[in-house]
Amino acid sequence: MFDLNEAIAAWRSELSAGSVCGRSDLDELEAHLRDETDALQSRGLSGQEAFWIAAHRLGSAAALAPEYAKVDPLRLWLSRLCWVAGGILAWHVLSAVANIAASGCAYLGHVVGLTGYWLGGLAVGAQFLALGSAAACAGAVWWLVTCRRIAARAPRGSIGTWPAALAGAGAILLLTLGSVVASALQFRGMALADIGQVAVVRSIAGLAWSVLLPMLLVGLILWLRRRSWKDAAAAQ
Amino acid sequence: MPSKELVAASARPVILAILARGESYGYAIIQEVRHLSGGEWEWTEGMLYPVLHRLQREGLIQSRWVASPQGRRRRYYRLRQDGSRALKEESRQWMLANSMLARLLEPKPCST
Repeated sequence: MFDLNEAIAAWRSELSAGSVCGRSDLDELEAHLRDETDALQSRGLSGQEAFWIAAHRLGSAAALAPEYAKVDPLRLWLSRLCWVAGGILAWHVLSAVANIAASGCAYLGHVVGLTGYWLGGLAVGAQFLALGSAAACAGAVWWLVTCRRIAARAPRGSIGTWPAALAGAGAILLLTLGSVVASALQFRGMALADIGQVAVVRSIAGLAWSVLLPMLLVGLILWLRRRSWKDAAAAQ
Repeated sequence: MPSKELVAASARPVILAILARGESYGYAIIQEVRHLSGGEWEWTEGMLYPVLHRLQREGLIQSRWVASPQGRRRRYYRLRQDGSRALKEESRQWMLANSMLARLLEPKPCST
């Protein structure tokens, strides 16, 4: 069964991708879409037919986005900058979580009697496991939030903005401190040779990661560029 | 059908002229253009809004949100004084282009 509100919510989320259209822009376009849908329905079209024709007349997201982007380029770049800053912050948090896991595991490994390179291997394994699970959790949360917002049309920022921001800042501070303390504590009571071997294994893994990460990022950028070229070609 | 370029170039004065008649919102402006052109002048409707927003940034029009009796919120646009001046200047240019074309296309007097 066709649900107009659901269709409009999906249409809005498609338009809001890329942060080109702000909330008030989307509200304005939605009012137009609803006016047009009503007018077409009053001429005898079904809700679904009316919605599709109205959305087609309004124009696709790929066609509208460049026009909206021209109105206020500064706002668009600021919002992109915001996403970049968010990404860097998320990476900082992920690194802190991974470091706590690695240091904690190295310490636990030492307590149960592991030595040298085994301890280093355990630390690196824990680090990557923590990175993977944190990324998976973030993905799951994002997916849940997006799906629920589309289904329920929940407005953005329904949680109080200030309490949420303070809680976020507190969590980031705690994680950063925890990461530093864990780094310092992991070597407590270890032999000097063990400390050196753990450090060697962790730095080799760090080196491999610092080579792999830029390659992955370049691959991602190329893939995104190809997608946007395809979208632009499809829009013409 | 008019060319894309002509539609795009005339959007500004057409919108200003419609708003000179009184406050209006996007959907109503589109309907008016369709009515005035006898259905020949078709805009990709969503393209109207970036033009309106640009006019607003230039200080030619201003907007406010109004709730309809059915509870639907619409953004109404109104011409400002600078907008009236811009409309006068734009219409002068369009009239000039129009009169030039009319004189060029009028039948030549017979020389014989």
